[in-house]
Amino acid sequence: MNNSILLSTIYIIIALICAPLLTGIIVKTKAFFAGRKGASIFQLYFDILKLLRKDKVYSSTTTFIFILGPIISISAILISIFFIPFFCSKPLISFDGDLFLIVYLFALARFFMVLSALDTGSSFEGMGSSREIFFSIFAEIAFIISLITLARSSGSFSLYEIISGVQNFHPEVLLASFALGIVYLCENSRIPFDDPTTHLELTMIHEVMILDHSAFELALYEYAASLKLWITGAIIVSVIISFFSNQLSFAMQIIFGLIGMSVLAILTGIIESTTARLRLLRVPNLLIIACVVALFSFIVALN
Amino acid sequence: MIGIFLGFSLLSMGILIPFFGKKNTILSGLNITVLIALSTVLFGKSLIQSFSMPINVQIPLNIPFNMFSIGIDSLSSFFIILILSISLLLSIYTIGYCKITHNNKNQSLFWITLWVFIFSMILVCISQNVLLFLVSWEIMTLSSFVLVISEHTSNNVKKASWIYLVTAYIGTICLIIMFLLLSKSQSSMNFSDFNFVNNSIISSICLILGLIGFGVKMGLIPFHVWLPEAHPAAPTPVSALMSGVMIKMGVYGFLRLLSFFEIIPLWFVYTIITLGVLSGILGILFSLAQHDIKRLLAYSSIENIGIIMVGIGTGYLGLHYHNTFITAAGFIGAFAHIINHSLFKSLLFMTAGSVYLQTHTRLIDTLGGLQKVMPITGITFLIGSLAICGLPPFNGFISEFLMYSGLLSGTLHLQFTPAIVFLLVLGSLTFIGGGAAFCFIKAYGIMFLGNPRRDHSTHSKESSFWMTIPMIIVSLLCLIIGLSSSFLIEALIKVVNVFSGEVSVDIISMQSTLFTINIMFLILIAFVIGILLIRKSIVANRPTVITSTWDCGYIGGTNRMQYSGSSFVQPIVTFFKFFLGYQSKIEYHNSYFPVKGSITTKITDILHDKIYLPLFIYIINLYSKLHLVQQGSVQAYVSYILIALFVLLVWKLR
Repeated sequence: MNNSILLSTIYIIIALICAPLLTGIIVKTKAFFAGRKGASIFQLYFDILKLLRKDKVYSSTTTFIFILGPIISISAILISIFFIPFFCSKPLISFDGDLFLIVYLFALARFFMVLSALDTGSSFEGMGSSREIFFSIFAEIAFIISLITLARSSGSFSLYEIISGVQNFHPEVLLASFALGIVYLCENSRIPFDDPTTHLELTMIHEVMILDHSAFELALYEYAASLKLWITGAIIVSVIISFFSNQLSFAMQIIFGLIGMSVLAILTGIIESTTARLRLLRVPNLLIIACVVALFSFIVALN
Repeated sequence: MIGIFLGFSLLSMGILIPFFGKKNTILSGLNITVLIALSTVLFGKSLIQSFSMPINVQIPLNIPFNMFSIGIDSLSSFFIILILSISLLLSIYTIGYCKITHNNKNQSLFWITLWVFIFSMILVCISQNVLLFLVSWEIMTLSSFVLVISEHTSNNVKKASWIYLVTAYIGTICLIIMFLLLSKSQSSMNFSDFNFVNNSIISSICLILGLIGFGVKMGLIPFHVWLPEAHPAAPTPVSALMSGVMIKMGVYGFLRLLSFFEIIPLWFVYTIITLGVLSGILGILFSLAQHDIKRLLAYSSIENIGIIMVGIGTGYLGLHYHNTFITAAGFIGAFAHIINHSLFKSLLFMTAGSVYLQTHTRLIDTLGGLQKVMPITGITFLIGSLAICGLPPFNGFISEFLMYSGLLSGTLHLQFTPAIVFLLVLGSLTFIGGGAAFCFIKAYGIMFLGNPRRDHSTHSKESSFWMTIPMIIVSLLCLIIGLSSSFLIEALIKVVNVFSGEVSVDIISMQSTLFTINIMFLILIAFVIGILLIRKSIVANRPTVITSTWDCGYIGGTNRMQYSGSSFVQPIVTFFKFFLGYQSKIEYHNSYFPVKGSITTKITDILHDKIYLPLFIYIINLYSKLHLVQQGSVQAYVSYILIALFVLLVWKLR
């Protein structure tokens, strides 16, 4: 028991420290495809530290929501780290039905991010907010249904037992992972849902909501985004690798986990480099495909 | 038992209101508040006692059909506690509201009717006899009608109140038929004699009639047409009371009806769940698309009633498949949602009324920037929105979590058909939760944040303490219930036992899960405070620059260029435009230089326009054919009477 607490604490510390590294790997992969050298892998760390040193600039339209929004967003995401099972470790807190708490904590983070965007009274931020919530409605449905499919095939409904109950590559696990992959791309505002490198405010979704934030608030939002990338990625990687790595020693588990996360980041970079962004009117179609695939995987799991 | 009598007679003393201050708001209002508070205190002991053992009182008057048999058990006392607490807080709010709207006018009619309304709801809960129940149901409907039509000079209000009255009576007719059938088959008018074991045609008809009759009062789709009309037309305290408490009387009646039956047939349970899911989805979709804040809140009430029905249906499905966890989670989730919805819906209506008094408009698209001038109203509206979306750390999350747990357990442990049904219901509940977030982000963000879109908010200021103190109290209650929910379960399981039989379930595990969740909420609040302190220490000494929002370098921006409410929800409204009856009209002529243009969007209630309106027009046309007989001449009518008497005479003498 002490071992599992130690292991999960190590994983939490790894998550907190290495989360910005994932973004760096994605950027390096895209640069490789473009024939460039690209920014350093540690660029997001430098950015966050630089932002923490800057002065405060606020818009006259904003209220306390502008300051409270980033703080509540990052607190919600930090809390969710405590009960995500990373790879095959038992998380610090685990109870039946905790997958709903995760979904609602992400919803709380999104609620306040959108409110702090609307606080500025800018039309760009209103545009991005309305698109963001519209996509998240469908993404949440796909997320929950795929997790329920995995729960059905493992027979229990706490996240730890769901992920450790995945025995091998049943067809429903593959289908559910596909749906989870689409949700992962949507929640983290990656192509094909949103282009994180665009500078055109009319086309932004996630970037435009943090357009007016600066210094401390922006640092919190950037770090929260990278943590969310790590957490949603860790769920997918855990589903895939947990069944063969829980016989290994601790050090090998950690190494396999980190390799899995890096592979996921490289895959994300490949998808970003080779696919184009979808037309905004077509995005609900892709999300509904994810919902239907998840529903189909549940029907497959019923037998 | 003495407490019941004393509480009752105290409530009846409300008749003294007109003598205590015809034009003085504070005196009349405090009169009501003190009455409610005293009766809570006196009722209180009997209420808590009734959780373990029902109390029945027969008043020994020689009235036919034993009409005055009253009593409380845990189901009634749950609802009575709800009524008393919400009306206590709302009566304080009404004092503040009426000080501004009814200033120096004779307002004794309003206060007496308010007292009669609250009194009749309590009477509904404690009546154990068919006649008493129906009489108090009628008093409740009529007194709420008088309250809704308070501003009777406006045509819109008159039309809306008329729709309310007619729909309420359609429901009451169904209830009368149903109760007559029930009492005829049991040959008694007392609820304690109603005990149905076999599933006959009569019981099925009674269940359907009860669903229609109580569904009208609850606001279940497709019987909901009065809700979006009556709530905007009524003054805000009345809307809050109706939406927070009166709708739950429909739920109470429905549960009381279900408690008469030993076994509920499976098709009926699936009907409850289907209507619940439909109400939830359609309710939130309509709510998203509204421009009027009180109509938005009315449709949101419809959505929450749908969620409550889903919880009740889940509980009955658990009973049917002999799974005690699903039963307990479903029912307790439904009851927790009843309490939570009363709390945060009355909070939202209170804040909406406070905004309306200051800005004199209910249209969201014309407001903005109110958070700075009305801070307390803004924060309490935000807390109400967080609670209604079911977000941590407030109470909405707890009830939704309980229902989700029950449904999830169903998808895992049941076989093919119920598992798919539960999964679809879970998906719909997730959709409803996401839609609710969309709806209330729009409501709070467009009304309180950003710049004012018209001139309203420049003249607004915070409401008086009569109005803000109940809002603060209810917000604190939302937070406290969210943080201490594990203690609620023991009381709620006793309520469940009334109408589902003894459900012996392992509530220890449920309590420990909720306790873990409460600890996580506390840690969340601690993180927020911690990061605030870190921020203070890092950036405290740095200079702050206040400038304007980034607008891409465009100099001539106006406040009208912000996103409005309808533009905010445009993606989802156009996605579902078939269900919403969405029509948009664009007037713009292309020319070389920019010209003025306009766009008008309209959402119509699809059931109101496509089903009810044609139906009533058809009925009117049908009856207009009776003009042949009803000519308006008195001689013709006298001759009808003579002919009828003649026919009767002939028939009797034959």
